[in-house]
Amino acid sequence: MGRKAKRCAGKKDDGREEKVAAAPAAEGASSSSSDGEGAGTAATGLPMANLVRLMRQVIPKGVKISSRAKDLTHDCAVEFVGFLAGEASELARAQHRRTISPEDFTRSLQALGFDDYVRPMSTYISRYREQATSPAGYSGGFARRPPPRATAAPCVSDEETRSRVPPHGEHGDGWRTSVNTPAPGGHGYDYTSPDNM
Amino acid sequence: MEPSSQPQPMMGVGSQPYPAAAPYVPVPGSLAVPPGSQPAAAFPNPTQLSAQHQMVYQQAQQFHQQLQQQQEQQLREFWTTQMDEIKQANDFKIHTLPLARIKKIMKADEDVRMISAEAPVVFAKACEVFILELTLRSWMHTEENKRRTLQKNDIAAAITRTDIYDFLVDIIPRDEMKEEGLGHNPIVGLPPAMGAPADHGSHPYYYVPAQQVQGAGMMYGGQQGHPVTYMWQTPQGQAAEPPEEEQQQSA
Repeated sequence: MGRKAKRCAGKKDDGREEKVAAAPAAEGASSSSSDGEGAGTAATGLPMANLVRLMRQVIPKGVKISSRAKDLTHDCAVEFVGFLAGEASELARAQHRRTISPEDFTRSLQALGFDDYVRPMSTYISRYREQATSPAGYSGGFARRPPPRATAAPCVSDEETRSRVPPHGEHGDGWRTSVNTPAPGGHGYDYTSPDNM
Repeated sequence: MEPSSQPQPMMGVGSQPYPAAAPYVPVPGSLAVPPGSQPAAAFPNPTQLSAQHQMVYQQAQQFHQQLQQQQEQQLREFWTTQMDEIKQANDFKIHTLPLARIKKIMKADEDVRMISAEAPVVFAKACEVFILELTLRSWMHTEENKRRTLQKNDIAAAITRTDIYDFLVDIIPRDEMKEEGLGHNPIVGLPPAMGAPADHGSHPYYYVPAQQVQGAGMMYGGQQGHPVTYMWQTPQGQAAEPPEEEQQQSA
């Protein structure tokens, strides 16, 4: 089993570079990770509506999600962020830097075995920086720092031909085959599964 | 009246031998053998029984491999879609998950001190992809059990099957872990009647739980290095009843 991120109730003050307004002091106390049964992580968690909207992007329409499944997925997502943040922090400190950068994040993904995530996230960082150097830069929720003047990092230019061969098997009738069709526009895509029952 | 000799097909490393006393007694009429070959005996002779077992075993193996290939294909399509979406992303102001919450979660660890302005953006995206992948893997388990409601034990199953999700094992409640453990028995000693519906081809493939005593064993010892490790899941609760009814109808 991999290294577990530490869970402490103590919370240190933000550094000087952190100009973003912190959450109200009333929410300062962080609760320990629950096992999905309690509501202790409500203050330090993610909005449940956003989470459920994400979950529905990869399951067929009409499929229900139990409340306990939503809660457990939420706890897993929070644990995922904390786990990677702890690893990224260690990588930054090993190089005598005190600020976590996106590169520390991609390195932590690699160190923890999330190989499939490395390339998409690296591409995302490059795309984000291209956006940041354009006139319509990022303007919401962040400290107002001038965008970096350096040239944009080269984007991953591999053009992958998408595999659209639907999976099929000898027992296709009993076990539904799924075809992943991206929806026009938006972030999500329709993930439909024919119901042959 | 139990068969005097039972062949014990092995399923590679880590598989358990077929229990000597099988509680399941196959219905004679459901066997795919000519009636004339067994005029008076209640069970077919050991040779035919062995052949029957081998056939069912091979069919289960083939089905197992096909299902695993299907699921790996689904995951490959998922990652291709994610890469395509990231390449086409043009508005980084819209985030499904709020950055302030992501940042707060990151700073819950006292080791995490200072975070650059760009880091929460990529953390939020990774968390988004993680939720999608976890849900997809959980849905695979729901589909295997022929349900239309994604439940907690589906997520627990996805976590136990995926190596990189080991850091989540402590989050799974014990009841889900215990329930998940029951389903980790390998496919050994399938009853001969399993061949009947598979031969027809008109019925969905299902597993009839034949063993009452199931060994706990090591849950993670059998995990392989590759990220997708498939283990056969016994249908839970009420899901075990309908397949038997279907089997009786087909007999």
